[in-house]
Amino acid sequence: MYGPQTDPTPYIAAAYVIGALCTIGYSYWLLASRRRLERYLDAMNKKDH
Amino acid sequence: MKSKSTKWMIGIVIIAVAIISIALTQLSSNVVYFFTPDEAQAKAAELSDQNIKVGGMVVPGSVEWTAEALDLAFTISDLKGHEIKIRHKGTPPDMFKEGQGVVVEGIITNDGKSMTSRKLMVKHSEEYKKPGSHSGDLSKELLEKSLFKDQTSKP
Amino acid sequence: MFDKPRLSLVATIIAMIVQWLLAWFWVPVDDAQGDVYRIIYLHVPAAFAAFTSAFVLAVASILALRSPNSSKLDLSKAATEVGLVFTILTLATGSIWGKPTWGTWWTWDARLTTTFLLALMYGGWLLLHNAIPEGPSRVRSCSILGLMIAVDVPIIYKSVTWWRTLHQPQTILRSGGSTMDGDMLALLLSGIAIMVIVCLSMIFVRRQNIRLQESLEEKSLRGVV
Repeated sequence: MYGPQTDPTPYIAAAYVIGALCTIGYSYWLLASRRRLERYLDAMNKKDH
Repeated sequence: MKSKSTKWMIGIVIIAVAIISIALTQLSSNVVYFFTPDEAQAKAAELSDQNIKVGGMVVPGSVEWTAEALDLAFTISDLKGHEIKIRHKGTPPDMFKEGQGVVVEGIITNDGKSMTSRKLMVKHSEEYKKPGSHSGDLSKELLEKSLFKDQTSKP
Repeated sequence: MFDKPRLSLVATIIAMIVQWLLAWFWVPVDDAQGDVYRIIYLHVPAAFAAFTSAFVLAVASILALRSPNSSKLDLSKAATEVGLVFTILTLATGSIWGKPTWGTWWTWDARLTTTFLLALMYGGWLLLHNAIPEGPSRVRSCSILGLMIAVDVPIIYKSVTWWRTLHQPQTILRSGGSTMDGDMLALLLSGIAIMVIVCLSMIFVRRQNIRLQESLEEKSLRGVV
């Protein structure tokens, strides 16, 4: 209408990519950390015996 | 080790205090985030040397747009008879149109009748509907409420 | 959700992805904003998740204050971290949505400023926690800050009602009913519900991790001694 209209795609994409990092990314880190911590604890317990 | 983390903490506290001060000073100068057209006109003389924000509705039929020069002119109103002519340079936001809510940041003339816009923002309503549904004037009603609540001058 | 948070985390993340797909491909376009409004299905749930974290932080803080000598800050720390992540997400998605609609990436209106303050306070809590050695003094300071963070939330929420803002007023929780079409409203509400549970699941998984880490550190210390 007044000048060229902006393409919404990059905005939507950017928003949801950041969304994925914050939710899926953070969750992945949580689960990966848990695996690592459990492995360390296992190793520690084995050493005691 | 302790003194290293103390220095770190002090540095961060200083930065945090600086950021919070900026945020709070900005907020306090923006507690009246924008004037309504009648409020701005009433105080135009004292405000004419400051960068102020005025919120209003774009009057239908008032928009003049010259694409080549990126010159935009339009009038905003408080729907109670107070109008200000706005001049802006540049492409307006996509949602800018007749009847839309806008917040204009810029300099007002002494008589409060016109303003040179430095930044043009659209203040749209909180209505969300699919195309073709008949909500009539809901958007306009919502905008009016949101733009002109606590308007200090009476019509 | 509370005793098997990893399970609820994975389940709700999957639900969230489905909700996102619906937001991109199923829900109708907005008459006024066009496609860019689809960011709402991420931005608003993220905001509610940030508020939920503050609520958990408030409860955890109150509980901790009752017995500062014996209380731990695991739950508070988990809630704060997750809260910070969601507040940053809210600010980022809001800014990205603001540029094509309002015409600006940022403005210091009451809604945006109080939300920015929330992020600062969440971050400040983590720094404070890091700086004070473990003990009742840390429990007290962090818990008080935790309560201040919780107080900001209703202010953020009401900011669009109490003050003039660029940010538009409430769409859902308002007198007179919502200003949103049926399909859109349903998707938004379910998005909020899903994200709140994602948030709670993250907090409880994170707390479990924190506790595991603490017990690891404790065990290794004992091993050395």
